[in-house]
Amino acid sequence: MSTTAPAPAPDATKEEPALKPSKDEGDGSSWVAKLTLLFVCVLFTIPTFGLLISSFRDPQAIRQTGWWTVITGGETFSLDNYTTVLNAGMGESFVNSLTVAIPATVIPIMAAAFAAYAFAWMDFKGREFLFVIFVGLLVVPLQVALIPLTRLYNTVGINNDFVKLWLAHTGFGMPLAVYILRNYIGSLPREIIESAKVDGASHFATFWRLILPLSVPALAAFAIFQFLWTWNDYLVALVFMTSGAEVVTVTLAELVGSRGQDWHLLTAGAFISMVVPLIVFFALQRFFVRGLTAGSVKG
Amino acid sequence: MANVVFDDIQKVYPDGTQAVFDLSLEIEDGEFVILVGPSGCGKSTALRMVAGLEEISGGKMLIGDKVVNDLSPKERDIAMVFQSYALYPHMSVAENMGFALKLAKVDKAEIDKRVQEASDILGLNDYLHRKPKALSGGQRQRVAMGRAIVRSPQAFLMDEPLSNLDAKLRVQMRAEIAALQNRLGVTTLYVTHDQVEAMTMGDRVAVLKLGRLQQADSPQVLYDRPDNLFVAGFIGSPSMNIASAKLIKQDGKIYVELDRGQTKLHVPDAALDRYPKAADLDGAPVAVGIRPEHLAPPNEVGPEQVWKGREVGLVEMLGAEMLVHFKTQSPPIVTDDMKAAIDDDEAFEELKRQAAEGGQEFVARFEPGAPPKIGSQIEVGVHTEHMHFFDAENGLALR
Repeated sequence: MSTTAPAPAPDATKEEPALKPSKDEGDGSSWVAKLTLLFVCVLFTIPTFGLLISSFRDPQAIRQTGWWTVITGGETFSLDNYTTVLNAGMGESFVNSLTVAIPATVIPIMAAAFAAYAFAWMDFKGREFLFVIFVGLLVVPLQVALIPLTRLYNTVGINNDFVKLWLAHTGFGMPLAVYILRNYIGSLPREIIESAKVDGASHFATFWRLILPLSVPALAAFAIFQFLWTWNDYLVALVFMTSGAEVVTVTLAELVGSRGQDWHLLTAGAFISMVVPLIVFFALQRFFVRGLTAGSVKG
Repeated sequence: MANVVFDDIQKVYPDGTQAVFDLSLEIEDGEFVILVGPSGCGKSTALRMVAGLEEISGGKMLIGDKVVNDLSPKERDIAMVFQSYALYPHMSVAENMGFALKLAKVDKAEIDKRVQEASDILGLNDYLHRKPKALSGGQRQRVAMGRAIVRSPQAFLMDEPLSNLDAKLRVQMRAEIAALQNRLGVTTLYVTHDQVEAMTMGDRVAVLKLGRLQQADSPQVLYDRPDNLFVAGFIGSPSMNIASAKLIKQDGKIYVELDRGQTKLHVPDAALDRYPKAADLDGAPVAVGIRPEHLAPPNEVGPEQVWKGREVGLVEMLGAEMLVHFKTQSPPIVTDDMKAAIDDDEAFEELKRQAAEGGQEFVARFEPGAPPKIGSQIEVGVHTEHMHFFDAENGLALR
C-alpha cells in the first residue's frame, strides 16, 4: 500500500478549499475586483501612513502644513514625539493594558468554549432556547450595562480595578465567543465525538482531549477579536479604572490634553500602542480566516 | 467476550417515527453476525443501540447476560468502528489506538505493549507516529480496527467500515477483517448495505427491511431458502429473477405457467419438497423465483423444462461467466417488498415500466462461450427443481 496516497481526509482539521481564488485570469470581472481591492486598501492605508509621517515631524510643522508636504523635502525628522510619550508614563500603561487584556481574553475563551461544547454536544432541556437568548445578547449595547454593573460591583464588594475590568470584558465578549465557538465545535464530525464516548471518555475528557485541540483555529480567531477589543477599549477602562492605574488608551487621551492641543503626541502614542495588536494579529492571523469560515461553512 | 441479545427491541424517535420494530436476535459469544438491508432499514440504529449511542425505546438489550439498556457507552465495554473511521486527527496512530486505554488509566507500559501487539497484527508498525492525515484509506481503516482490538472488548461493532474504500481495497479488507475476527474470536456485529459483504464475511446474516427483521441465518441458507420475496430479491448478485406465474396440476404432475400462460414448465418434486405449500395450489397465482445460475443451456435439463423462443436483450461477458439477458412476457412483481429489495429508485422505475409492458428481462448465468447475438431467439433450460415459490399477496415463502 502506498504511504502517500492522497486519500481524502475525513478528519476535522482538514484544510478548506472554500476560499480559493478563482482562476479566471482572462475574465474582466476579476480585474475590476482587484482594482477595487487595491483602491480600498490604499484608501484605508493613507491615513495610517500620514499618521506615521506626522509622528516624526516637528509639532510646529504639524500645525502649519499637511503631512503630504514632506514629499517636497526640506523638513527635518526627529524622535522627539516618541521620547515625550515614552517619558509620560506610557511604559506603565503598557503593563496595565496587558494586565487587563490577557486575562480578559483568556477567561471568556475558556468559559465560552465550555458553553459552546454544551450547546453543541450535550442534550439538555431548553438548549436551543438558551442559545438563542445568549446570542440575542449580542444586540445589547454595552453602554447600558455600565451603571448597573458599577452598582453590582459595589453591592458584591468587588474593589479591584483589574478584576472589575476582567469581569466586564468577559461578560461583553461572551455572546460573540459562544456564537463563534458553538458553530465551530458543532461542525466537528459527530462520529469523532461518538467514538470518544465509546472509548470511554466523559464529557470533560471529550472536551479537554478532543474538542479543545481540534478547535484551535476558532479559539485563535476569537482570541484576536477579544484581545484587540480589550486592548483598544477606552470606555470600559475609563469607567472602571478608578485608582491611578491607567491603560494605554486612557494615557493617550490624557496626552492629547483636554482641548486636543497636544495632538502631535497622539501620532507617536498611537503608533506605540499599535505594536502589541500587530504582534498578536500576525502571530495568530494564519488561523483567522480559517477559524471564521470553518465555523460557518460545514467542512 | 460475550453474547449480545436483542430482546424485542423497539426504537421510536421523538417525532414518532419508528425505526426498529420488535427486533429479537441473539448473537452468540464469538459469533460474526452481519446486519444487512437497504438504506433506512434500521440496521445502523440497531447497532447504535448496542453501542449506547441511541436510546432504546422498548425491549431489553443484553451484553454478556447483563441488561445494558441504561448503561452509557463507556460502561458497556464495546468497541466500535465507524464508517468514517472517526480517527482523532490531532493524535498519532499510536495515540489513537491507545486513547481508550489511557482514559481507562491503564499503565503506560501496558498501553505500549498492547498497541504494539495490535500494530503487529495489522501491519501498522511503520506508521505508529504518523497522523491520520498522512495515511491512505486502507491504513486508516486498519487504525480504526486497531483501536478496537487494543481494548479487548466484549464485542466489536462495525458500522459500514468498508464503504469509504475503493472497490479493490474493499475486497482485500473484507478478507482481512473476516480473518481477524476469526483469529481473535470476538463477538462481532457488522452493519452493511452491501449484500456481497454480508454473504462473504459473516457466520450469520440478519436481513432487515423497514425496521423489521426478515430472516437471520447462515449466508447459504439465506441464499437457498429465503423466507420471503424481499430476502430472495435482496440476497444474490445478479439478483434472483422473480415473476408472477401460475401453478397448475396436470396428469398428476405440477407445472409452472410463465409468459401469462404461453409457457408451461414441469416442476419436479425436489422443488415441491422445499416448498410443500406450493404443491397444494392449483391454478393460483404465485410469485416464482429462479436464480441466474439455475438457467442453463437446454440440453442440461429435461424436455419439459425448456423455455423456448426467448429473445436475447443483452449479453455481458465477464470472463469466468456470461450473463445473458432475455425477454419474457412474465410480469414482474411490483410491490413495496421488491422496491425495498432492489433499493434503487431508477431500477425500480425501469421494472415498473417493464411491468406496464407486460413482461421483463430475465438474467441467465451461462458458462462463457460464443455469445448469442442480441435480438436472436434462444432456448433456455430452466432448472425448475431449484425454483422458489412465494405467496403472490404477502410475499412469504410457500412452506
